[in-house]
Amino acid sequence: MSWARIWRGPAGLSFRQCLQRSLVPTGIALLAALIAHASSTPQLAEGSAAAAATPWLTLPLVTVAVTCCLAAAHMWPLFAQRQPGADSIRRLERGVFGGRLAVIFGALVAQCVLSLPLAVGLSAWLEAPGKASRHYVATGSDKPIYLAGESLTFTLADAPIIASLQLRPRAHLPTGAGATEMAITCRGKALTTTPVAFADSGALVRVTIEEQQLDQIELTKTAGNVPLAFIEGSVVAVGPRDLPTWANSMIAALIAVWTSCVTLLIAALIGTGTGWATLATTICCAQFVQWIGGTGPIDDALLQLMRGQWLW
Amino acid sequence: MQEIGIRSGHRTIMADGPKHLGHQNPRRIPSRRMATAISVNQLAVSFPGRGKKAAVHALKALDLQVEKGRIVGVLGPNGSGKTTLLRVLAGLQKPTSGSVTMLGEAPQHPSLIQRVAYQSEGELPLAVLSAPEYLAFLGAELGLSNQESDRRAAALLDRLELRHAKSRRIRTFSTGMCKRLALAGALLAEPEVLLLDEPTAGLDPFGTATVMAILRELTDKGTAILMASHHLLEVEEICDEVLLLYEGAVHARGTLQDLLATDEQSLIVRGLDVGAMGELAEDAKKRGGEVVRIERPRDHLFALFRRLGSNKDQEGQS
Repeated sequence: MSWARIWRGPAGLSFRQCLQRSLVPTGIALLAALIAHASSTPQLAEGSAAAAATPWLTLPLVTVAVTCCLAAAHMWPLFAQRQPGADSIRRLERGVFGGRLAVIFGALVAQCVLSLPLAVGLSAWLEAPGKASRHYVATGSDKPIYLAGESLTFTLADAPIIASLQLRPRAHLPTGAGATEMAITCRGKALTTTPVAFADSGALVRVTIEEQQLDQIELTKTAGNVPLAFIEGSVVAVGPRDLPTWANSMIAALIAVWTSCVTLLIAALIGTGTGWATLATTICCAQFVQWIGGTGPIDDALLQLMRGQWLW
Repeated sequence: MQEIGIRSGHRTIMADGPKHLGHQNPRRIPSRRMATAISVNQLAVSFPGRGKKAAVHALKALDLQVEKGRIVGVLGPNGSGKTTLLRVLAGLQKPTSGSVTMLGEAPQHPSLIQRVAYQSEGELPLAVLSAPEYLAFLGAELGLSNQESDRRAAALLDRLELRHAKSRRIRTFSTGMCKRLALAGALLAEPEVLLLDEPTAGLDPFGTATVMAILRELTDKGTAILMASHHLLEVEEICDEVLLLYEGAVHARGTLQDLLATDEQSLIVRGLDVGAMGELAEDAKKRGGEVVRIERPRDHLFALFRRLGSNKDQEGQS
């Protein structure tokens, strides 16, 4: 099948319609995001507040995703029941999916075209870190540490080059006031000059170390009386910041496209038995639970992008 | 000019038939046996009931043969099964029982997408497109090359007088324009069989005349046409045969000549002066005939519209 034929067929039609119908709402959402960001820049204790601007990155991108999905589903009469002209199309598209896969493809390409520059440009505007770094979750025991001298060992697969550590332990009920201090070592060699103190549950402590290959991290309690537990994900080794943020933004945009793919596949299934109103509601709900409800990867991805965490 | 109509005994000769649309069924029906385009045997379609709703028997034991080059009108009140019949023939509805072949194939056969065209009754799909975009889409779906699709689309838009609206979206079209575009879409593939559901509903007299002319040309080229309509005059004007459906069953079927013939005959005379007409009326009475009326004949609205159209054309040319 030639490109010219694809351009005139359901995929091309869907692509053009999604672009046309998404442009204005996306522009409005972008403007709103820029104004909101400019008028409410958060002041945080730490230097970078980029992660706090994640909602303003989310707003235009979710607008693109929702409008593309709605435009595609509304345009193609076979997406929902009792749509005008469905018989004419059904006769031409006799496959199981009735041309819906081509329409979905067109919509996703349109979303890509809009989302990629938007994610790259907006993340830079919202001051995402200029470079991204790989994050590696260290695996180890999650048993609590109570006594001084007790230690936990966490391992890193493939011994990557690490530039810093992020430690976020859960603290048990303290038996008395006094932060727990931990020494951080690798095979007996100290990674920090002084022990690291933890006083609150869930508090993130960033520890910058000399860039080096690490295959394991040992945490040894040296002082204090707050019992700590390093559950899965509490010990993260961070590589050097050497990866381009624009590429990271593009990955985020592609993850956003994935959410639309899931949404439209759900819509294609549900639409066989429902009318347009139900289908539109389903599309909106499916998008929002993935973007804001945390059921899909995009919610975390945008936050990580703004924190400078490499998404691949 | 006055006109006299005389009815004679029980048998009436239609010396001058209806003139509503210019002429009645003027096409010569070839006597030689033609290839069958549509063959329907004992077709039944039922829709199962849901809950307290009883099952609906949309079509019951229907037989139908349509040969190439013939146009058959399907008449019947709302809910009589006309659209269901067309949907079965278009491959959109599976029969409950019976057999259907279109050009020798089952209606769902992929090759029939090009060879059989179906113009449905409802709204057009993809109303956000313009007419050329819509036809380009159909052309791509029908497997036509872009060049060929564009050529045919341009010709059809010209013929169906939609050229002026080519930059407008379909959703801004009037009902009549939508009908004409739907017909253009049906004709794009140059099909061998045309299934039309209310092709002239909502059309103005010019549009109706254009569509009728196109359908006549198509049947002359050998296209078989099955047309469901509520417009009895058009069916009478153009159809070779009529199928009258009532509650899913065939109520009457045959050529218009057979169906419309009565035992009476009549004589309508024009061009005589008043005296001669009186003498003729007296003579008719003596012979046992009945003088139905003596009147000054008037033209029909359609002729008025047609004159208006030809005046506009002349103004346009000058």
